[in-house]
Amino acid sequence: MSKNIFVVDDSATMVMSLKTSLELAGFKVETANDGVQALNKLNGGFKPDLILTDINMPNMGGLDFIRAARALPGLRFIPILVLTTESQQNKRDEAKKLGATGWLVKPVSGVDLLKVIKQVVPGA
Amino acid sequence: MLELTNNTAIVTDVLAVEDAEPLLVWLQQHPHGKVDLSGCTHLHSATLQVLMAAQPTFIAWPPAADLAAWLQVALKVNTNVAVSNPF
Amino acid sequence: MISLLQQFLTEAREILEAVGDQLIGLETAPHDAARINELFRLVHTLKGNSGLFDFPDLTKVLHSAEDLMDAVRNEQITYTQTLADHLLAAADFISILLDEIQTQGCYTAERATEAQTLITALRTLRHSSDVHSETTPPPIEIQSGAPANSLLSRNTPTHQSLLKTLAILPESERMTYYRQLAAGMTNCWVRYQPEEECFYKGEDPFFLITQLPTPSWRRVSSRESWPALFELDAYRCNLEFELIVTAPIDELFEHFRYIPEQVIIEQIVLNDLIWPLVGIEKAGIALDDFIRTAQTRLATNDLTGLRHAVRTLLELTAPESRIASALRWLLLTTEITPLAHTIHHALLASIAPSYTLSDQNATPPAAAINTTAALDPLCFAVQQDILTAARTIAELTDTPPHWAGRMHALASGLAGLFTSLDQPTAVETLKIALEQSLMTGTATPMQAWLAAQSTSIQVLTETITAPAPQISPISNGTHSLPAARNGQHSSAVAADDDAKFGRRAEDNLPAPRTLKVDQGKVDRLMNLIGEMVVAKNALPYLAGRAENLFGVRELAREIKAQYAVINRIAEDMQDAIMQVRMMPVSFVLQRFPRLVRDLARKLNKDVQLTMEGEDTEADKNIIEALADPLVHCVRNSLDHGLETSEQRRAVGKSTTGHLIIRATTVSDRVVIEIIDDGRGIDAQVIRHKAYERGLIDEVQLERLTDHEAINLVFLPGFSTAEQITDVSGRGVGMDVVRTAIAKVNGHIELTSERGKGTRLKLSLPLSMAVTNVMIVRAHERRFGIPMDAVVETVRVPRNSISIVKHRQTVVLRGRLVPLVALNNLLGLSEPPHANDDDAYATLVVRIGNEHLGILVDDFRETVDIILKPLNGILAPLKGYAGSALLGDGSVLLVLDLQELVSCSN
Repeated sequence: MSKNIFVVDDSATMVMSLKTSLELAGFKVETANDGVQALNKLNGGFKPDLILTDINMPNMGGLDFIRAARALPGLRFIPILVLTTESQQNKRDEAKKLGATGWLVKPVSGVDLLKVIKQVVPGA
Repeated sequence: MLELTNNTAIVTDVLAVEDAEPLLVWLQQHPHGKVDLSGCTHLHSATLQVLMAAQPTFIAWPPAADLAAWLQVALKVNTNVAVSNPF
Repeated sequence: MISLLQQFLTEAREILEAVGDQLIGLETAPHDAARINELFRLVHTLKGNSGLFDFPDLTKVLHSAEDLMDAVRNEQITYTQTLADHLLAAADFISILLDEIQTQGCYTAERATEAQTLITALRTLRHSSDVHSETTPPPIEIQSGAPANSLLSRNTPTHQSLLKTLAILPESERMTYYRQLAAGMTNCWVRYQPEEECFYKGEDPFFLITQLPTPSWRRVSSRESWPALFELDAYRCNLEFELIVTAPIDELFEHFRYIPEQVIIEQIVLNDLIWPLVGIEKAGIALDDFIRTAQTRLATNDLTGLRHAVRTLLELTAPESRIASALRWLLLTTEITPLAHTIHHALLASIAPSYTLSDQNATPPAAAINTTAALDPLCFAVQQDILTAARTIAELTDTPPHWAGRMHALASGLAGLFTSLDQPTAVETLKIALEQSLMTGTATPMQAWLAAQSTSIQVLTETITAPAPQISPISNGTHSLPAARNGQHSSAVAADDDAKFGRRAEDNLPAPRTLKVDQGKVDRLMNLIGEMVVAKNALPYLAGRAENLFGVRELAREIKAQYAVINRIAEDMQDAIMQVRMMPVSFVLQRFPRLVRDLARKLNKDVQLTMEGEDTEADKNIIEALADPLVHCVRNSLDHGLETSEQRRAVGKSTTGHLIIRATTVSDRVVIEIIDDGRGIDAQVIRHKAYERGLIDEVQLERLTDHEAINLVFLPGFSTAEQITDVSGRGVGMDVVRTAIAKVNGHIELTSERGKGTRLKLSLPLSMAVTNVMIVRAHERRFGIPMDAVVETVRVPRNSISIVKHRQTVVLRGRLVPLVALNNLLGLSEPPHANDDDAYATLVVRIGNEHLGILVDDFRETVDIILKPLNGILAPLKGYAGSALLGDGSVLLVLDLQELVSCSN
């Protein structure tokens, strides 16, 4: 069964790039443009196998989103990876403290992406 | 997936993190319950530690050699004594 | 499907527009933190996206801009006008790059130089103003004492843990590892203690562990002993994993990169494996002779002789004794690592009766032995190889995620070498070089250290021949970071979050249901519906033929009924597609804040721009057609209309000039007004200018109302600017604006009051996709005339036509309407045909503000057509708006009456 991956990023380009790589690799991909939209989808009962989220987003950024998502009962144990740039070391640490599983450094190559997903999602 | 019968817990595919709680409750209620891992491809750490703490009897190990080796090291031996593999 | 590049370009443009908006917004509120944050976010996003493609200059400029905005955001530097200018310049530059990428797939090579100039400027801004607040990098502390987590000092707690683990292994296994290491394999020991809360971070430690290569040794245990099953918390991780695996150490660091504080990784070195020697103590064997012989043979490098002596003694010794173990190790090490003299000596020493058990508990019995580190040629060659390899590694320019691990590994390898060469100073400086490298994130300090060693290596090899005072064990790398276990991910925090976000479940915001569609797709739909309309229009012809030619009236009626249905669907569909093509006026208006700002600064005027009705919608083509004329009008207002602050003050106006751009929908037209409160237009000046330029005669000069006079500016070749400025330029006058607006069936109207201001009103159709035309006949030909222009159709009896000022004229509804024959306009010699009642079919049309009667042979039906502009060799033809395909497959030429009339004049 193909795994569901939830991509949360305000940049349509980034979403398209990730979605294309993931779908080519056989994943099902759901997307949201910011934390608020993402939470709405999760509150609506969507339960992904992995969440990939950007940090800087309008309305609700990635860090607040992680905090909120972890508080949802069904999402306590879901792997969450944050998408960061190389300069965002402090954001990574903060994200880890808030419950992120790991991070990816943008621009994310398809190979890296799949490697990391394989590492955090059993059965992927 | 976790299937709990009267005397056996049968694991198929991935034993997920959410299964840890029901597995623990089942093992608490079935001290002599047996565990069948023959269809298991991976089990989450939380379920692994439940099994390690409960020390049930295992009727079958996973077919994947590496996973079986890990589980046998973790589960067959009840003490903290090291087990080494022959080279 | 649109490509990623296309998506990138589309989004990049949106971001650039938004960047422009924020920058303009910051003009009035330079300390608006929300705007500054948003600006940073936008630039950050764009930079991130650009990284997906190979546009280095684009990315670099964005990177500099991002750094600059980051500094502004963190209040290291203040937002200034100059800063805004540079950011705007960068935005413009990026916009140019995007255009080039769009058209050519890449940007021209010369852009690299421009990019560099911009980057330098942005960097200067970043660094010039932050002298006071820049956080200087902390001075590198050189600790001469025992460093807390030095990788190079051997006696670390983690190394002790490794030795304790290895001590559990039977001698045979340790010997196998020894063989492997000597053969060049890398074996590492990993201890992974996941933090208690790790499950709540989506981690699955066991899964991470099972993805490592199959370990040669492993152990899974509990960190604390298991509680009673009824007290067990399944979700509090109490596991501990330990393993030995054949894998490079930096790969292991990479594997555990998200949780470095929870793992200890040590590379196993030869010396780690030998000790402790396990076995019972057995006295009674005369060892002194053996020791003496063995030491001599070792000193003379007679390993064969030594091994012979060892084998002899081994036969006499109980196999389970500690000495037997030492002898077996001696056999192994002399065979496999004949150059490891220090190890041989240490083993020999351990056999000596003076060697006591307590010494060997944890540390190798190194200190007691006095030996000579003979430097043989092979050993020297190996050292050179190590140094060469180290230099190659240090000079690698890539920066993989495990870069730090690589530096650690490099340093630990070098430390081993220099320790074995007994160069403590070198090892000390190596530590410093490593720390500097890690701190600065560059390999330069390590490279420098290596260079320094290379020059001294020759000297080193000579000095090393002196007896070494003690055996320095081969160092290994301990790379564990202090295990900081943070248990602050408490349930209290989670509960708090619950309260904050829990209610989001109810206020489900509807996600914006917007779909971004490539323009080409909509255009295709438009063309298809055009064809559909044409095909549909063929049905009445078919019905006609069925009835008239084949005489099947019933079928004709059915076809007509079916036509009605298809017609309705087609109309609805057309309407729906037209809706898709509608876009807000803001598409063209959004550039004005920036434009007005720049112009106002350039002209040194103080202008406040107000925009209203930006969400008013109209067809894409209309909106696009508006863009250039609007820019021209706004420029005119700023250049000629609005005064400078001084001029305004002198006439008692507020110093700030006001410019309003307002969009509204009036029935089926969109109306754009550009209103300024500037000096207005002096009708008298216009009259005289027009007269001077021969645009009007003396009679008109007298007779024109002020309103009419002002509208003379739309005549070709009229320019009111007293001086040519680089803002409005010259040559392009208001006539161009009028022509452009007229092309999309728009009107333009100018009103002005001297001293008070000017109002320009553009009125355009909401849509131009489908044109309603009336078909007329002239000299056996059919022509289409856009219904927009048609005021009425009348039959004018020949006898009511009179000649006024040499022109045929008729009085219609109390108004004098000049007449002209279409044949005349088209240059056909034939006079128009009158009908049987001797009346002319006359189309009264509006051209500009005038009415004109056009005599044709006959009127026909009105039809909806998709107007296609003339192209190819027909394109330069004047007088035609375009062509359309009719239902019967014939081509209809549609006239542009305005052009046609002005041509014939």
